[in-house]
Amino acid sequence: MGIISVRDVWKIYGEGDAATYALRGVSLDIEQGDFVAIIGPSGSGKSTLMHIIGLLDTPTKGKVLLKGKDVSTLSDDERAIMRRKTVGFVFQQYNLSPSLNALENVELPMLFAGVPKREREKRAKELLEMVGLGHRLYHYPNQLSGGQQQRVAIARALANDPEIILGDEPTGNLDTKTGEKILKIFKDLNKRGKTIVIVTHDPEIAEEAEKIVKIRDGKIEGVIEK
Amino acid sequence: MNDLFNLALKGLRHRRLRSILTIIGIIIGISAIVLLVSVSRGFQSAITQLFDQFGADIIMVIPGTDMMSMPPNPLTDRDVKAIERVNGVDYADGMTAKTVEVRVGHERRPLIVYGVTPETFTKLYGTFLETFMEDGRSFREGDKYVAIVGNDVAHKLFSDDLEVGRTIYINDRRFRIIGILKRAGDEQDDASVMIPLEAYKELLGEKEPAYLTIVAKLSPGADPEEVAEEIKKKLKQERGTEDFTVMTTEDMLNTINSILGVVSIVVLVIAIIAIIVGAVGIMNTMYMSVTERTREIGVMKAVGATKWQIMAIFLVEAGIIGAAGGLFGEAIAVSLAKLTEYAIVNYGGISYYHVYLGLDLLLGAAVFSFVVGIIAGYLPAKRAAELDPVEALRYE
Repeated sequence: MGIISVRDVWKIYGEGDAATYALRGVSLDIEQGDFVAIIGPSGSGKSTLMHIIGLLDTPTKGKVLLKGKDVSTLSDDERAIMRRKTVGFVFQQYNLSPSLNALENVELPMLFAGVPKREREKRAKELLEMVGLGHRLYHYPNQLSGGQQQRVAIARALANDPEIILGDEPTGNLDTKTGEKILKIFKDLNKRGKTIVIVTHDPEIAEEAEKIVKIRDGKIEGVIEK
Repeated sequence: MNDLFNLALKGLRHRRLRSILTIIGIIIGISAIVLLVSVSRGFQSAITQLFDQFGADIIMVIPGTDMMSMPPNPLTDRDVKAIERVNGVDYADGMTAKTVEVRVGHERRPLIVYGVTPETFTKLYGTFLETFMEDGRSFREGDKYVAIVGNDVAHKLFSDDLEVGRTIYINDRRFRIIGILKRAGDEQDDASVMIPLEAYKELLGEKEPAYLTIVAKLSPGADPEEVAEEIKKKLKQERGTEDFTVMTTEDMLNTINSILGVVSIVVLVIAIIAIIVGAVGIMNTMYMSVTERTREIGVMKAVGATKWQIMAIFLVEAGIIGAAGGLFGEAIAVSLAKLTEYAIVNYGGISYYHVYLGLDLLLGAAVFSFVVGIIAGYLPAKRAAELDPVEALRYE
């Protein structure tokens, strides 16, 4: 039993002839402490799979188990509360709030979780220092470079100390050198026990993972474990 | 909630110009409402105060049944006598007027000259008049060739500034000014002259003056409504027809208040339209904000915001716009109201006029504007709350 189990999951958009199949019976187990790369061409369903793993989306058919508990039937708000405790997202576009500075962006998940202000600030500072941005606490996203923004995003993903970090092409908008640095942070987090799932179309990045899941046309083609 | 409030405030600050423009929309509506309410309630209390001074123990009789009817038969001394015979009436007095030539030095002006009975006039209006005297005194028993003049007569209509003791000629008869009235704000009133009835009759050769108004003073303890009914009966009997109107102080007050009421309703409707326009402005801004921030909303959901939390952020934003508009609107309304008060006191001649700026009005308007904001923000906030996080994250 993994930390996340996806059991024969289908995701179908639309109905009848117009129906599009994003996922066609995907089953996948991710163990605690795994570093998994989900790789596939665009439109293969890899993002949909990540959204389902990250409790952002629900399957049309099939089950998603989080630590053995079926989460595919939870309401939107129940999933939101579950999500804030267990999953941290890192996106390709960084997706920081432009009206908030680095510190406030990192505080955001804790704010929604009801963590008191002082505690939030303390933890956000620690996290930003950890990703090497201790000197950029009060900078706004538009005052930060791409790599810096992504590091803020990683700090934000770690805010509520989730067990799983999901990265959707986290290095896609960065140059090779910066991308490598970001990847290094993911690896370090993995060493500290975080479960990492990265979605990418870049085989070189996938090579860094311990486990590579190849997906095409909504089906898993194969799993390579190193 | 405090945190969501801060978050909303930061969102508003990020789109500063648009937030300010939307707030201006609310400012216009709220300041209009507050100003109108404070000015019109000021009028209401000024009029009530005026009638309080005037006394509730006064009944007026005027010729005609309404303003539209044919010129009626005038009221005469016989009517005054008849009214005085009514139980509960202490005494009554008629007031008459005509346009007559008034001369100061070589300057001649046609002015309205009122004829009044000195004793009753002073008994009736004595205390009342004191508040309206700029200088001098009211009539006394035995006064004949003396005059009380309106403010413009003393200070504006003639090249000489007239003072108490100055001589004027009415129909080439010498009169001495004994009193000058304060500005009434009404052109006709300010340009009028009052003289004792005896002199008036003599001057115009009128033995039987046609009265514009008969004022009856009630005996202490008499019920105005009952006495008014009695007067009506008596006069109808005397004149054979009901071609006159009997008004108690309360009737007059009600008439004026109902006119004021209609005016306030009309203005209030306009102000409410302004508020609705402001509210639509908020709604528009919030919809725009939700659309622009679709991806940000997706991220907030991804990091664990519930529907209610998202909704609260946008509702609070709209509420802040409303409340800010309300507070600034009130500040503007208060200054404009004070300005209006100044103008009415100094140029309108109503020295006892005060605009109404009670706490209930100011607090009510502030709460109201906040609520307007929340209501206008509800649908956009709901849309934000119900966005599908996956779709929202994909939004470009």
